[in-house]
Amino acid sequence: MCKETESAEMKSFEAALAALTPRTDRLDRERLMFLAGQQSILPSPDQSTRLRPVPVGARREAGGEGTFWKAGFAAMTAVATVLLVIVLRSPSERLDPQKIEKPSVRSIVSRDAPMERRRLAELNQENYNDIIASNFPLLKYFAKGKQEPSGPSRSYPALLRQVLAHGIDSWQPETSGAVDIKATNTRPQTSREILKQYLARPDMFAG
Amino acid sequence: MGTIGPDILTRLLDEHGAALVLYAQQLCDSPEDVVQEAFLSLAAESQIPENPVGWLYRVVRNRAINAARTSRRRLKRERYADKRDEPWFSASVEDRLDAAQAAEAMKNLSSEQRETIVARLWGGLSFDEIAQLTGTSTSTVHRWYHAGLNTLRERLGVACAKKQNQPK
Repeated sequence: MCKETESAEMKSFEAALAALTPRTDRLDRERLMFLAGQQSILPSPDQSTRLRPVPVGARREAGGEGTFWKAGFAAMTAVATVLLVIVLRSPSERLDPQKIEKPSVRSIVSRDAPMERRRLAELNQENYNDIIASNFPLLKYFAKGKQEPSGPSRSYPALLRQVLAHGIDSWQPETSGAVDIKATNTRPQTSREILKQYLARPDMFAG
Repeated sequence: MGTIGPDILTRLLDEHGAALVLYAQQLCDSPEDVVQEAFLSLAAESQIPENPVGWLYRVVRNRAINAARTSRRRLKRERYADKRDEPWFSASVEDRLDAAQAAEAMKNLSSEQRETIVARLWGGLSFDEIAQLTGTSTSTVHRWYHAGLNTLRERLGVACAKKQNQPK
């Protein structure tokens, strides 16, 4: 009987407590319905998350963007590091003066057309003579005579080669048009004597 | 079943909105926001939950706990009720109990007892639903509930109405 009384009292108290009405003015009903309607017109359900607060404890995932930039930054850093290592480890090269090989006369002549070979040969011969004359001024006294005032002497290159290879003593004057030098005395005593001898033949140095 | 319609949403809001706010008030200090977010989540659901009321209470509880954590206060959940100065109930002359005194008495209960009483009396949830909501057993919920009621009755000093006829 006590239990029944207790139970009855408890149920009565329970009813009295449940009769209390929680406040209804704490929720903005109109605003809530407006937000719900606004949310319903969003094109994708994902956009509705904007209305849902993200828990502060949860991290917002940056998705692929952050990962993309991080990966790109790491890749570019690696490339820059590799290039720097290559630059630092590469040996320094000194700039040596370039040795330009000047093509020989024979090679130039051989490349040209056959009809111009003779002309090119003549031009090259003139240049060759000029060079020899400027570098070896005394050799002109040993040059063979020229049949013509202008134009190169055909025997001159041969003479020059012989003199350069074997010396002046090896030179043997030609009897036809060579300089009249005594065979017994192939080496002039002085330069004055040489000059006198060749002045007698000025046509030799024409051209 | 499709998305929840505005009429259903309105009906749920009118019938359970206040109780949900009272329930969330036991767990955090921003119950209005939590309940509003719960209703918006319900509106955004692609399908209506099988038990919308239970779903709402579960969402409200989870969000209230998260909100309490994010506030970075290490207060116990029963203290949240103390911080709230706003009245819990609407005063009415027909009430047999004083609303302010009842609210004051409930603040002194433990968080589990208070949560269970609110969910049972004003939320209309069964003991099984409350057990699933709190992650406990039905017997534990039953024990919390009766213990809380006994405490409230003692503190309020209510003389129960003797309607039943005592056997002679």
